[in-house]
Amino acid sequence: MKVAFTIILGIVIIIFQSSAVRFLEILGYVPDLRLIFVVYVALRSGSIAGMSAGFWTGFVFDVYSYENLGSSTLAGTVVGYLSGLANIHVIEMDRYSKVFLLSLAFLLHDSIYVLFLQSLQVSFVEYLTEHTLGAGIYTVIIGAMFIFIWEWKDQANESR
Amino acid sequence: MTRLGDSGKYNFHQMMISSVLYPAQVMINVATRYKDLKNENQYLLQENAKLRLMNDLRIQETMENRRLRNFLRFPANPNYSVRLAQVVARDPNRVNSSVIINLGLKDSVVSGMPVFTPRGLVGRLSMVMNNHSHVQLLYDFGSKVSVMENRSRTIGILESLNARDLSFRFPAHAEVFVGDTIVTSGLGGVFPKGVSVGIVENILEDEVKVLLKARVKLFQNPHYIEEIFVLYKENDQIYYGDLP
Repeated sequence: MKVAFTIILGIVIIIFQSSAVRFLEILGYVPDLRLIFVVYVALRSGSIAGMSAGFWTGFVFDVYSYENLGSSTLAGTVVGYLSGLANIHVIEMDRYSKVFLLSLAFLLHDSIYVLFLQSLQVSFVEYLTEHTLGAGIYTVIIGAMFIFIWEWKDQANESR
Repeated sequence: MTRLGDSGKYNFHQMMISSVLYPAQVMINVATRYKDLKNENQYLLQENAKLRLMNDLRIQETMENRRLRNFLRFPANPNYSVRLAQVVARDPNRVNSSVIINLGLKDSVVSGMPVFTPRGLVGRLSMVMNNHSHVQLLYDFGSKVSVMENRSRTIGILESLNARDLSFRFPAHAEVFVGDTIVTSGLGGVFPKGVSVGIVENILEDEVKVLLKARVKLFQNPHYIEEIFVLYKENDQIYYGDLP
């Protein structure tokens, strides 16, 4: 049931990210809902599940790419795995740590992604400041809202 | 109580009802007219795109005529047909390199056909399926288009600079200035000559000293396209039949 829900959620996010996410656009930046999903799965179900979520969503995203085929798959897989690993083995996370982890995941994802961008005519740092920063801040804000709601819901369930 | 006018035509409750109902009436009116408006809009967009393209081609013809007025005849530009397509999905990655449109093999489109809007060039069809196709946008790192500056006729290559901006590489001795217009050169056989592409924003130094690089702002930002036109023109340089 849980796996089925996660798969359906992943499909919905992919469809939304590829067709309707522009309605959330601010200053030319859109949130990366897929990354929030991958980190959510990793934190919820561990590194193997996070890695699978990162792999499959990245695999679908790569269908749209021409030059950098495989970069989203690799970036998503690594981020999903490490997010799950950090949650289980490194630190017991509170909500703020999860938001911080999401920020790191975003940075790591884009760092891996940009390494595969052939023909990029600007420097790595310039790319990150121009592309990653805006989208990253937006994604972390959306992700933080989601994490706070999720924690609040969990606390409400525990207190019953 | 508000009473409007001495004629007694409107009183408070009539005004209230009218005010409350008005938005709903507008909505219903819009909803009922939506289909007609959509058809009309599509027709006008198609007409507009075709006229824009014809205008671009006519401008080039005029310039061509001026330069080569000693000649009596030129081959006329073929009258390509265009077809409207809806953008149904976009590349969800950070680098927005493609969109998907609702035309496919069943609509007789083939890979390589140019795609544009009334504002300017968008890209070309890169992958054609039965009922939908992928459009490779100019922002894609793999996209290299032969373009020229419209005033000085300087020919160069248009390619993605950083997935948000495009660069126009041209010879360092050429006179290209900020504000110049970039159009397709027609070289390469994919895009017809003279389709509007963008405007030069600033000139940058290139790593290769014999070239300069200009940052180009596209007339049509591919991030905001909802409808596009496919130009029914096959690549001139590709032989599609069996080799003898």
